[in-house]
Amino acid sequence: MKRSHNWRLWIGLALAGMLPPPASARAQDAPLAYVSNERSGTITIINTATDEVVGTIAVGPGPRGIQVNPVANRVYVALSDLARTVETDADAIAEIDIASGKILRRLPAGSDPEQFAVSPDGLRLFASNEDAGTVSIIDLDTEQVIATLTVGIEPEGVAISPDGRWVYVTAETSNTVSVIDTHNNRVVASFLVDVRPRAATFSPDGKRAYVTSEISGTVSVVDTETHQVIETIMLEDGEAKPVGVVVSPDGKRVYVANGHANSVSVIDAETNQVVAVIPVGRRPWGIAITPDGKKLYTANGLSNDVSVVDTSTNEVITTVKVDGEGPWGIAIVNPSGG
Amino acid sequence: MVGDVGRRQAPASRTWTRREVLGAVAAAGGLAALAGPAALLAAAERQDLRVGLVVPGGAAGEAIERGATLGAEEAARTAELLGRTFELVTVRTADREGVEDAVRRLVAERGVYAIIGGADERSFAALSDAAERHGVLFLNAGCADPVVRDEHCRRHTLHVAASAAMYVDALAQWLAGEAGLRRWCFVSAATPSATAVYERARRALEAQGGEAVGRIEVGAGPDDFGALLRDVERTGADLVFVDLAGEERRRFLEHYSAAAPGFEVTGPFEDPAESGEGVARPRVGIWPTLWHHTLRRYGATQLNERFWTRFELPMDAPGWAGWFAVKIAWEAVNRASAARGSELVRFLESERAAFDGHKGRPLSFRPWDHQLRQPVYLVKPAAGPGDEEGEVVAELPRAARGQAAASQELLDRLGDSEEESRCRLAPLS
Repeated sequence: MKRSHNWRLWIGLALAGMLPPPASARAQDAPLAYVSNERSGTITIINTATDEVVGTIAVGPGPRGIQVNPVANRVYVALSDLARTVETDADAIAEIDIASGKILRRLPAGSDPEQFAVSPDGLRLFASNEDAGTVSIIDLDTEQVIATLTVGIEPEGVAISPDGRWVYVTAETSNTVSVIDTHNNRVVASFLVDVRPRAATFSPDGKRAYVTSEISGTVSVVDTETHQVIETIMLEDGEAKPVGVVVSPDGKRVYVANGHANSVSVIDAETNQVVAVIPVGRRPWGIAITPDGKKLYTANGLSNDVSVVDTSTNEVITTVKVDGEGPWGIAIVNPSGG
Repeated sequence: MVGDVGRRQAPASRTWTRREVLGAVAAAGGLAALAGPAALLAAAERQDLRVGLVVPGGAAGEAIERGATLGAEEAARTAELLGRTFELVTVRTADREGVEDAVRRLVAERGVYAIIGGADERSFAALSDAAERHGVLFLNAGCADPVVRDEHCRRHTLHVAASAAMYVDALAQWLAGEAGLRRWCFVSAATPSATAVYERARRALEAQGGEAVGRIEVGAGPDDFGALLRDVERTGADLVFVDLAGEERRRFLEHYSAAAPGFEVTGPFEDPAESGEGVARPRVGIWPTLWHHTLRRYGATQLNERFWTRFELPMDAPGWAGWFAVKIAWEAVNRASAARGSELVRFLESERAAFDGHKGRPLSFRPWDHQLRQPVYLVKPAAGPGDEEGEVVAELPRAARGQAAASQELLDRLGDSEEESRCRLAPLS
């Protein structure tokens, strides 16, 4: 009965010249979620239209931080072996060609590469070096490290403003955020946030930044004009373990992956109030949102899956089992660009 | 290449001899007596921050000093990022008079806003008294002795070192509660502290369904440890809890190791004299500790590596306590926006004061006894050549399977509750 009804609808739409592209075509154009699997050394690719696994790429030991080059049709992933404090050949940031799924090259990245950011023009990569307490700025054309800047102790999260001007680097032990001015590649300010800052992100208009602090269970809201914390938001009475953070494309919602609290907090960016807490898989770390803002994805490190959240209802609509272990980071690639 | 790597770092630590401190203050003459508060305020305004470390010579003091030095170097680097300076001023002295002089002059001459120490009972007591008198924060990084700590329950004294009660709770919860070793025989010195530890351990054991099957008090200089072990065996114990120190502890464990009896051995806390390089440590038993160099999670890998890089030694428990005490002192002054002892104490007693000791949970101070809430690790020591690492066999407290517990509630399962505590803190002036 239902099938017959749909058939009539399709005929009607076709006659009216309104036939939507076939599902396969829509799926082909849909953004893809690239999930790094730390323990299995792979990347799982999920089609965000169907929420099915459509590919796997073997990348090498310990893939964690994963980012998209918005210009060059490339994905970058930080690789690190178990010898966290010793630099080996396995430690690198790998550049993957989205079309072929091949690793094109491996960029130098210190002994334990974990988090990094790619500039909006696709020309530079900013990587934190946890052991050295520095950030390396890498020219993606020449593969040269063009600057190494001292930041806080145990640098971790790296975020770049939408206009490419500011890079924020969190440091776990010193509870600091260092501000790099990309015009002159210098640290121009540092400020304190709550305890054990892990990740940072900017709002789409670049006016605010959000920094998660895992031990305090808080998110610091930063005015990016003054580089000062203007508000601190407590999550789950401080019992959340916030790590990954992402802002919706319209800037209205901030989504925080709460790590060992197994949830995502949803913050109203205007009021800075938590408006929902969504139970997801175990130990969500990486978090990403589709370009249309309709779906949210979390990489759940202990349940080896990805939770898919409908942002209109704040409910998990499906859980995708990855074909690997230890999902860590997640980045969404838009094959149609933008 | 551009960048700022290699810029000169502000000096993070300096060791002053007692003579230097005395001499500097003597040169300041009568003004020194008035310089304390003034120096403190001036320091806060200039944002030049100094913390004092007062430790005796010897292994215990040196172990805390290593950690404090690393902590100070890291704090100095962070301070530089924020346009401030941070310095650790170390004085090595052991006797009460020396400690009192050191504190008085560190406060007056150097404007320190906090003191770290407590490597042994004597210096702990003297530092606690002196800190209270001068109204500066004192962070105890070493003393676990229950009697001395109860006697010096002071408003300006806070304990980074775990209490004996925390250690025995951890041991009982794991060894009796989970490993099933419920018949304990106690071997301890004939001292008030050992008696207090015995009483507390017995309660912890009984709370886990265990039973104290014997208690043997050891006088000074026993010479027949073989007979002692046979006495333990006769009690039918499946574990001996040995609360001896120094040479007596070493000899007891030597005999235990040689006899290889059919019962496990443990004790209330690590002997700080066993810290450092080239010191013979026990190769048997299971021991509670604040830190271990094999820890990996929560950034422990990085901390252990930084310590090793700095000293070419594994980070041990006193080293961790010294490091963390400095970290607390540095973060407290920033987050409280104050350097006065009373303001820092109020901050540290508050819910806002939570710190990251690379143990995966927010660590805070109990307001009733100023004890830092923190996990304790149980360690099986390295067995000998070819096994230099040892291993952490448990982290306590543990939440029951499938049950989530708030961090504070969980960590309060180790140590004295407010009802159990004998500490009665005086109001802040």
